[in-house]
Amino acid sequence: MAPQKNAASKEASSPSSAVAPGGGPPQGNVINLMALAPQQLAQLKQQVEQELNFYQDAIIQLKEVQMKMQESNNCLKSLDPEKKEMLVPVTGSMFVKGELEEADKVWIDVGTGYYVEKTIEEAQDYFKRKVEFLTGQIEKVQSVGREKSTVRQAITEVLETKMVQMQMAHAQQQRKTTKT
Amino acid sequence: MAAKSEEFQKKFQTEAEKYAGLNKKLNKLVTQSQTLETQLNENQMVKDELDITRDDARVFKLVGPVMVPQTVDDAKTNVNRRIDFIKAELKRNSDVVESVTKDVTAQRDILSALEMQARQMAGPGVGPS
Repeated sequence: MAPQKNAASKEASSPSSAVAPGGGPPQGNVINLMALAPQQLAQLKQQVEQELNFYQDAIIQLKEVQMKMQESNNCLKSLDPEKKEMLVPVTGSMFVKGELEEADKVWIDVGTGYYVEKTIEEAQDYFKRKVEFLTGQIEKVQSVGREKSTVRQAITEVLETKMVQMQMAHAQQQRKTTKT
Repeated sequence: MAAKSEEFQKKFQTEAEKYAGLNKKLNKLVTQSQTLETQLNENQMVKDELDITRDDARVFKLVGPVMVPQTVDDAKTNVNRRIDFIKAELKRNSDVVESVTKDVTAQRDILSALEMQARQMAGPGVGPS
């Protein structure tokens, strides 16, 4: 469920179609921002922004899952093996009284339709591991996101410099034409 | 002259359409790869979990609306088989992606060559249409 890889490229030579299959390592992809035309820069900026959005969404999703795991873990803490009575929801607003047969074991959905029986301690361990794993993933995505936002910053700055340069060149041109 | 340019226009159009089609194909393939990648990840996580599960633990697999009991061993082999299958599929997919990427690049070259030609045909003094 966790989106860990994404295949987005920043090919400067072909801004019309930027689909990189596989998502190769970005080291070989050094772009001299100053060498790009303003239009290309704008395109690149847009692309980087899209990627940034993607990472931000990913973080939100990861945090949601993390919260669910944490919630399950908290529920385990309040599950007392001695207290077997409970109300079983039949519909959202109707319950029947029930009694737990095995209150010291739970079933956990581990993904792709598999359910594994675990003792409460094992289950707590499971959720703890999941939360830790997700924390790691969130940190990873955050660091990539920070990198991206630095790149965006750089692009914005270069773009602004270019704009100023263009305006100055334009003004000079006009002065020349008015002189002659 | 008019007939010639009309013919050229037509050619340009078909090539551009081809290019768009290839791009669409490529996009679809990339999305497919991503889906497979997600599935692989999920299966890998299940495998990791099953690997540290006690051998005598009870495991159920949800098939449609029913829970089917399985031994841990069976579940492991099933998940492993699934992982192998997805890996094979990913490999196949990435091969196709590679070849389609080549096609896209080739088609882009054709298009830009045509664009150049068009500019030359328009000649000097005539603005870009």
